[in-house]
Amino acid sequence: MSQSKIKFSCRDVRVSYSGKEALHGIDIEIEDQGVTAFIGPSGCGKSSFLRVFNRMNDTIPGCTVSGIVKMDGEDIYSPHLDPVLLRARVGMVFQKPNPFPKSIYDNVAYGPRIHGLAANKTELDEIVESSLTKAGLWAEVKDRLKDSGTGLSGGQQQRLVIARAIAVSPEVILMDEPASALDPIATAKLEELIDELSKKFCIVIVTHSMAQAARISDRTAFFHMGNLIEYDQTSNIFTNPKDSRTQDYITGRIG
Amino acid sequence: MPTSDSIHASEFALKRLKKRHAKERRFKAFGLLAIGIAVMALFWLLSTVLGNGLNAFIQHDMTMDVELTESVLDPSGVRDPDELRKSNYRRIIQNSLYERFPDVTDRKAKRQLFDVISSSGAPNLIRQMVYNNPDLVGQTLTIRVPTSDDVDQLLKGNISRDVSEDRRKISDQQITWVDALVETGEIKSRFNTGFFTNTDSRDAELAGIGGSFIGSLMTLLVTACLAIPIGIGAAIWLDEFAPKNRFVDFIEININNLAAVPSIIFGVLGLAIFINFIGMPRSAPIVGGLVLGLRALPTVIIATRATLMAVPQSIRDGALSIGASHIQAVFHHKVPQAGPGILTGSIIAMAQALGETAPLLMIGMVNFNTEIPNGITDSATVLPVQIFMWAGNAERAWVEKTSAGIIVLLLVLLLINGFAIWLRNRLEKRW
Amino acid sequence: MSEHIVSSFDEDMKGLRTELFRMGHLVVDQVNSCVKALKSRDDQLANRVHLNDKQVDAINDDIEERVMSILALRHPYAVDLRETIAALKVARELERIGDLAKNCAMRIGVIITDDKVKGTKKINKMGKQVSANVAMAMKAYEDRDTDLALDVWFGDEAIDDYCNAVFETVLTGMMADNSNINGATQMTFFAKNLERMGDHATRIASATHYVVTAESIREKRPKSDRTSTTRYLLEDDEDDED
Repeated sequence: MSQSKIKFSCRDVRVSYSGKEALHGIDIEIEDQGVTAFIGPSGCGKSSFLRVFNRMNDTIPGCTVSGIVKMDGEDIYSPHLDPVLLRARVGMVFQKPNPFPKSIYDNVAYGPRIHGLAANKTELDEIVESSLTKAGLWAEVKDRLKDSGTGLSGGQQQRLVIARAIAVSPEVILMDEPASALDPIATAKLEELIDELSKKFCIVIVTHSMAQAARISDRTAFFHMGNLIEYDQTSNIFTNPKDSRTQDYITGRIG
Repeated sequence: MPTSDSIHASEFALKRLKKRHAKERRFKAFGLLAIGIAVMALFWLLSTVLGNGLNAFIQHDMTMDVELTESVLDPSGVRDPDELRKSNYRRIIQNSLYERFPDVTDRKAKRQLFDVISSSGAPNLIRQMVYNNPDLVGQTLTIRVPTSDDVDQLLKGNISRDVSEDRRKISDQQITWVDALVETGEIKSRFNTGFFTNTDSRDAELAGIGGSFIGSLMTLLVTACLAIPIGIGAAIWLDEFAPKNRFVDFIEININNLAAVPSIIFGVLGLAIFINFIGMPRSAPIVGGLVLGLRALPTVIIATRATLMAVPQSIRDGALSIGASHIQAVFHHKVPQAGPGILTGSIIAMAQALGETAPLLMIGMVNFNTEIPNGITDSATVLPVQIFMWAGNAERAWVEKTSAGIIVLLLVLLLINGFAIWLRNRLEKRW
Repeated sequence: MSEHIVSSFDEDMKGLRTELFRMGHLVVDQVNSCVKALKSRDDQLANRVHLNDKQVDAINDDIEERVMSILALRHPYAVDLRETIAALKVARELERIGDLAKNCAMRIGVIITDDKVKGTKKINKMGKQVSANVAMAMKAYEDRDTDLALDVWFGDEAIDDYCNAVFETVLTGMMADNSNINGATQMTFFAKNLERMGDHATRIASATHYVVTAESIREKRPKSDRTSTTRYLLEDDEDDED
């Protein structure tokens, strides 16, 4: 593993829902290059932690985040930082594909429009085309950009959502179990896409599928009951985990 | 089927199964019975209303030639429209009738003859024509005038010819004349357009829903302007922007309570605040609309919140995750998705307001109006109140009017609700 | 180690283990018999070793199949993955040891007809050491005993020394009296085979160490075997390790 820049650095991050602590002080450094996977049993806090990076937890009533989260050295929970701008820099893809019930074109064009990234229609067209191309969807939809995004298959919808996220030129893409609603072929295509995207974006992915984490990630973090148990190169985690809880989880034993 | 040695095939089990099926059949039977009773009640209601009211859409009128004698109408010959309004048009009609039946000489008989036609309707008709065109004076016109309500009822068979003369409102002599006029085709039944265009009247044959219908429209306009924007705005605020605290919870609970408050309470409120405190005019659509608007507000809020909550959170999250601000996520994505539901909810709230009577009684919209209101501050009444007022009159002709008014109201409500359902089915998104 | 949530996974792993242990015992027996047959000049026993090798090969095939099926169906990770891969490795080592034992057994017939061959005592000692090492390697694997595995690992040096000694003795004997050249040649092969069995035993020990610690034994494998460079005239004792 080449020496890579640190994208996110977290110190003692705690997340609580209505006073009940879900994450008990996480220290982690996410590298800029490659894919970082969060794994762990349901309710271990991995999704909550993912939402720390784009402050989506802010939108959940009763949710509070404490600790220090720095992105490129800048505290993203500082009162001077606008979460709206942060979310333009840190895109997110959700478990269930959630394209807007609008045309494919408008789905991708929405972000650039609200952020004023295109000066005119031609530029917007270019952004839409390049985003869809990067998301590996252009060839499939170029003749029906006016069709509704919700009419696509699940896998295509998920790639459309990725195109929508990359249209605003983020630095990071967070993915919250992006393949859990997809069939194996669509999953394979998505994984190939993630591999491709990881060359340009810092990708953090939460997944229930250990096999998926093993296939696509460079580093894997194992969460258990609100704690970060182990964080290492993926190959180490899957061949030689240091912690017995990690071992029990990834080998399918009762932990 | 389970094999014979299965525990599910034991005698006990089979008995139980039989019982369970019987229970199911019983429940289905109760359901059918309940539906049956409801359908029968509805059928009875509709058949009564239709039976009583359908005849009101037909009216008998008489075709007659009237000579607009100058010496009677405009002895001065100035043709001043204002003077012409005061002329004796009754005389003109009477003359025409006496001419038609020359053998009637007796004073009493003459009066009875005049009572065959609408005694105020016919003169007013000619008065209006002459006022609009004074040059008609001196000419002979062929006009159609409504018959009196008693004659109309007689011809519709609602007044029996078999009972003795002193027990009915129409004399044998009058019946003879009417029969003769029907024979010659001078009295004919026609579709009653007057019912839709006329305002209220002391004479049943002249009374119509035109005035109250316009009153209803004006009232609803005010209601819609008040309830829909405020209701939708409040619902969006409560759903997306309201802080989660006791105060907001309290508001939410009370919006639901407000929807269940008897509507007459809103009338009392309107009387106290809008009329007595603010000093708005009584009986006016503006006050009625405001009161109904307050009444419809919780309905609109509840309907809007329900549709907003049905929009998946993931759409909003999707917008937020690419850097849309909260208000952009709500107004670019959530509200448009909820649009059809909000629209139908609002329409249904308006339909409810259209049928509302009690609060309007409190603010004096129960009044006798012979003029179609010109604005929302004019004295007016509304459709259901008009029906309520007619229902207080005992004559057969008024019963018919009442039922006809109900039919129109029901049809309008049916149309509105049907439109709302159509809109919902057409526009609603499936997730 | 606690059990898997999917109990049939446990059964698969247990089946693989049982089969591997059975193979281990069989191969240890083969090596023992082979050494015993040479010592007691028992041609029949040697024959039996020859015949039993088919059984070893059959178990090896079975283990390969089991490993394939576990990899394909269970997607083992971490300790399960290491154990599955180690099973494949150990089975291959055992299969090679089995082959070498068979090869030795074939030579016993010739060796025992030639009673003038030198070094019998030394090769018997060496055989005892090798069969003990193989047995220890398997025991270490079965018990996940890394200390024992390390013993096996370092014990190989002694075997290499024995081997060198046997070579020297046999070669000296051959130079003195070339009438026993036939038996003596077979003897050197026998010794070489034993030495290689020892090497395979160290690989089993290494696999054991890997299963338990997920690390290979870092130290360079001890190597004192100089037979490949042993010269006729033995003028050069200072040759390099390869």
